Amino acid sequence: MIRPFLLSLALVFPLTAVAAEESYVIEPVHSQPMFEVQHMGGFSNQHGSFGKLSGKIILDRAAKKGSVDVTIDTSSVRSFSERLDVHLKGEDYFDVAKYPTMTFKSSNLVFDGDRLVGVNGELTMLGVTKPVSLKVVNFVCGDNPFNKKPMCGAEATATIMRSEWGMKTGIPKSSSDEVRLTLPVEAYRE
Amino acid sequence: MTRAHCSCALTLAVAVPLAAVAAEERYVFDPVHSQPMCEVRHMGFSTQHVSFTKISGRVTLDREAHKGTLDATVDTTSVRSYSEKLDAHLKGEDFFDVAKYPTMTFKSSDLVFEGDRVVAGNGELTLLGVTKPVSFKVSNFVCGEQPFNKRPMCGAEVTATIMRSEWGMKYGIPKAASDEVRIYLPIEAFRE
Repeated sequence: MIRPFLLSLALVFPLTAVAAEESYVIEPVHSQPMFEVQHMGGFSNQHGSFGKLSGKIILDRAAKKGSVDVTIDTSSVRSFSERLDVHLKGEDYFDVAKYPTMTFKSSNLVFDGDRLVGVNGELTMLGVTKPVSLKVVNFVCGDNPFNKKPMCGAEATATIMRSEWGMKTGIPKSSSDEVRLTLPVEAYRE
Repeated sequence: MTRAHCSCALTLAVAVPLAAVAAEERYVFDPVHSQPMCEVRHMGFSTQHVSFTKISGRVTLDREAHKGTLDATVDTTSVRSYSEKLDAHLKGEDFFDVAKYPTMTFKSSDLVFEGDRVVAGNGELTLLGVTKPVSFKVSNFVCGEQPFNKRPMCGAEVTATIMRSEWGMKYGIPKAASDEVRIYLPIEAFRE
């Protein structure tokens, strides 16, 4: 009596579909997002980063689906100058008192075989939500060579126009509207 | 009397062409906007970045003769990564050994021009007391006036790739961090 019942269950709920979804927690130390702008009309490119973030990535490589959910602490912004850091945290830029976090969420992942090559999502910054597409390169999964924990790593890049989120200070004389994002990611399987 | 003075002045102008002397331009780095960064592969999984926040440097350019020099000194104790724990390790003997080598230098007397723009160069990096040649690319070389204070300046992006083991920095290769290091140096320099 039990065996046919279990068999029916296996047909209705194929175990392989459930096992294909992998859940990863972003390791924040090695996943600090960086940004780059042109300084004073193009004399040089200057960089900044965010030191605090948290996030989760879900991958279903068989079904070629997944999701990304990242929250960045805006007060963790750090540039090449402490004086600039203060300015960046203020109303002219990230307004961290009012917007202590910014988020990136996606449920539209792009795969090439079982390699992640793109993520289409939305960035919410200064309370404004707009679409951003990330290009993903060097996607690789394996064991951490020291502690053997299963993990994945990748590099994501994107270019945004910060004015679309309302961050208009300094454009273009001081720093460019165009901001190039470089996002290293390391994440451990849950 | 006046004519003699005139010919004397003329002779001088021919003997010491003012154009040649005026052609060498000297620039001093703005250290805030010229902070070098380097990039390594971490455990084969991602690319991680480290920068140096203290640098001083000078550039000379002779755009007519298509010659120039670059001379930069980096304070190795100013190394800054994405982790304070790593910063302490980087300053130690395994990496930059800053107690013994508080500076590293990059010098070039061979800048390569295309027209009057610098596009590349060949120089030497002295790191951990070892001096080795490094060739570099220069992109987005541009000279003009600073938009706020109107001072004449030039800017560029210098990139190079080195194998750190050649300077004796072998720790962690390849399991923790790659031998290959990509160097990126934005330069903003004001005319003296």
